[in-house]
Amino acid sequence: MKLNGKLLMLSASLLGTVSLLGQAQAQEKTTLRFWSFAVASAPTLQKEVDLFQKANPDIKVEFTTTANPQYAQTLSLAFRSGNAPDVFYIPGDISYQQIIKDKWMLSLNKWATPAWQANFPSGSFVEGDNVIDGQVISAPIYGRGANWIQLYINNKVFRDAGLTDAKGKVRIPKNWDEQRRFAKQILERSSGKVYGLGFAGKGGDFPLFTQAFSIKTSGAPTAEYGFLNYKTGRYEYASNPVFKAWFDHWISMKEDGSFFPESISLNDEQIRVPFTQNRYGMLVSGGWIPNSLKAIDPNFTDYTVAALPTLKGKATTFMPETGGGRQIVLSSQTKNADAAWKLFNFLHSKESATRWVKAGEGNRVYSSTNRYLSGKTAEVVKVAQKDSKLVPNFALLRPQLQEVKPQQVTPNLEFLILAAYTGQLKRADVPSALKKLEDDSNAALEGAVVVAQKNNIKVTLKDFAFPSWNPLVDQTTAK
Amino acid sequence: MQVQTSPRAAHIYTKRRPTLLTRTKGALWSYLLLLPAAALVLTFVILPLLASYPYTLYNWSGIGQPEQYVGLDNFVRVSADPYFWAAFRRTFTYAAFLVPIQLTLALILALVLNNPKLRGSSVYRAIFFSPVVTSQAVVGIVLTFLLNSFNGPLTQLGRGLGWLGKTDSISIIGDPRFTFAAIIAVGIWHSLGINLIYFLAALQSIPQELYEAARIDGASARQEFWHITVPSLRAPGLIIVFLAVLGSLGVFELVVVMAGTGASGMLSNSEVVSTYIYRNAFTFSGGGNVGFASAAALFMGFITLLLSLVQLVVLRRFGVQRKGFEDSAGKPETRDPTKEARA
Repeated sequence: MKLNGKLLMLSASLLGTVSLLGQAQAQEKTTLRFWSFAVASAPTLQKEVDLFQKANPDIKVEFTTTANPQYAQTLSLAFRSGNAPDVFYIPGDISYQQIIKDKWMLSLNKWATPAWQANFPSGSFVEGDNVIDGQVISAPIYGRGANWIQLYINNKVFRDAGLTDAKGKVRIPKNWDEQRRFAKQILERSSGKVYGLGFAGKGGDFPLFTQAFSIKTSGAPTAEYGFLNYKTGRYEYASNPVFKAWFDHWISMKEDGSFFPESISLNDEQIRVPFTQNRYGMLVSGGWIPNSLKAIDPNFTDYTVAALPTLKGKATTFMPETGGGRQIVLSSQTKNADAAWKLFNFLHSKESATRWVKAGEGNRVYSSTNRYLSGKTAEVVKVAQKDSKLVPNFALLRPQLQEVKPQQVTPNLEFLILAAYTGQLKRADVPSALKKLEDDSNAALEGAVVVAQKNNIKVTLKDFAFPSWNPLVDQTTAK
Repeated sequence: MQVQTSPRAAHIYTKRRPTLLTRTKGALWSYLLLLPAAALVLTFVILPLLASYPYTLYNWSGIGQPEQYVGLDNFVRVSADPYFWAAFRRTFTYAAFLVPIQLTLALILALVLNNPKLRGSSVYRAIFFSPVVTSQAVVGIVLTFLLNSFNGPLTQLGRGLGWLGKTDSISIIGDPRFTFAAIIAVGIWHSLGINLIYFLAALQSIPQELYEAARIDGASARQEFWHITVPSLRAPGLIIVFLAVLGSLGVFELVVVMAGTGASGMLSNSEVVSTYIYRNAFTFSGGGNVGFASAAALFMGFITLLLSLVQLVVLRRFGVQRKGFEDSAGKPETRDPTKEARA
């Protein structure tokens, strides 16, 4: 018994010592929290985090990916509760001016010296974009490419439908008429078993919005996500005939029966599965798709990435691009600024960029890494860099515009897109629906200007118009 | 005529109601055991509700501090928004269909499972209760896939029989005529088990002597049901009904996963108040308006509160007995001065 008791005491003291040592070690390690919303790129980011931890054994990184729109909400709550991550991706669902106003981001001036900035291509640091009042808050990570929605073509479906040229290569629809004819041919040649186009009807507004993305290169000048024309300062859903033309095209495809019927009840991730199963021929989506398709079916590579067809077969207006670039920032609430900078610097390095490109994640800001682009990623980048023009940063030119917060219009454009698909919006009613949307959107803008004025913001409706802006040429400033 | 009072009448007139302190002391353990739950409700329901009231006066994206004061404009817009009222009607339609169908099925099943001669009743109970412990989101996603997978064969059959044109197709979840009905059906199935358990517990609390006495008197099974079971179930039944109504008014996950939010929810005629609030608060591109959504939530909160008050009034109206207020014969205390005077 005495021996057993001694053994027990020895074990206990050994355990206690090990535990204390472990705690001491843990205390020496700095823990960083890194948040992202890039679900499709999460595995690649995790590998980068793992490499960083290997190179910095005294730093532990807790990497968390949260899909949109929950990401913006979670981040907002974290900042409000004083529990923000150390390093995070800037959410797209929150106004950038709001983030600046609420001082979410830490200045990098301590580390981002002119010598460090010189690592990046010229024009990478732009006041009002990733430099705010002289403080560097971020750096560009992704390469150029404003045409960020593409047409994905299932080559087998196209071949089976006879949509190939003399050399056997699949034919790419250049205009809306061709897209409609190709979709109909797919349906007819398969005796109704395979469809022309699929889309995510149940994924919220964004996937629906992407269906009408080709309007941006078909005659509707835009300088941001939405369709506000900064040349006139007005929404022009009815005034610009291209919107009606697109709805006519969309409804025609529906009447032809060319849409994959499950589209209405599948979300953005779910709709990709039948694409890999050759259930339909065309999918409109973004550069995050190739890795996602690979994850669904590693053997599915027989598809082509092409530019969206336009009204007339070539771009008559262009995708807007501004200088600078900002994706990842340091949190103003971080208690480990130096360690957070190390992670930031690691992720923005040329070595990390090279691994990123080789992993098929897309192009990076360093042109030297472009040579590693291959396969589908190279196709995506090629399309993304097409049909874009430099536009002025209008919010920078007139900061008071960001204080105007228009109420969301219901029904919005996405509602009309889906209503046209379900048949609840008839072709004959499209002009009046677009007129109502235009009037409601402009009224919402006017109402928001009035509210801003009542809250002592010096802004007028005319501030939204930049008559000297020419959307057909590269331009970085306007009056 | 001189009115003489009997000692019994005098007793009734002079019996005093126990004081609040006495009643609290008598139920002290009950209050203590309720305290944790009450604290949770206060922290996670009442306080956030009260905290959200100031936000209703602002246009606010939910980020930073609310700055754009709009006064009661949000309430005016909500009250004038046809989409809010459509969601409001739909929410009550959901409850109006779900509650009677589900409770009728639950009662029938409870009556069957309450039969002592039924073997394996605990197994059946577990089977019917298993959907209750499954996440509504998971249920919604799986059933959406299941319903979608029937679309292809149904479409081919329809085309083959000539009921559908060459380009027509069937989509059970995707057809606005059927989506909400499908959601109601899934909702009925999902929470059937919990109401089954409630009814079963209520049935098992009915004294068996009543049934035995009725049988001795020659009552049939139907008479036993209408004259013993139904009256005995009145009090617990009312509580079950109101819990079911209040629970169904808060439907959210099933609608989100089966119909979606935003345009798809609205166009499938499936948007309810909770998804309306969610859409306006969070899902618009560029950020929603939490202030506006809070105003809509406040409306719904008042209506739910009103329903709870109605529940209280109805329960009292139907004379739910409370201990401590019975006369010496065990009947609810009543006062009829005329009868007492004659006595």
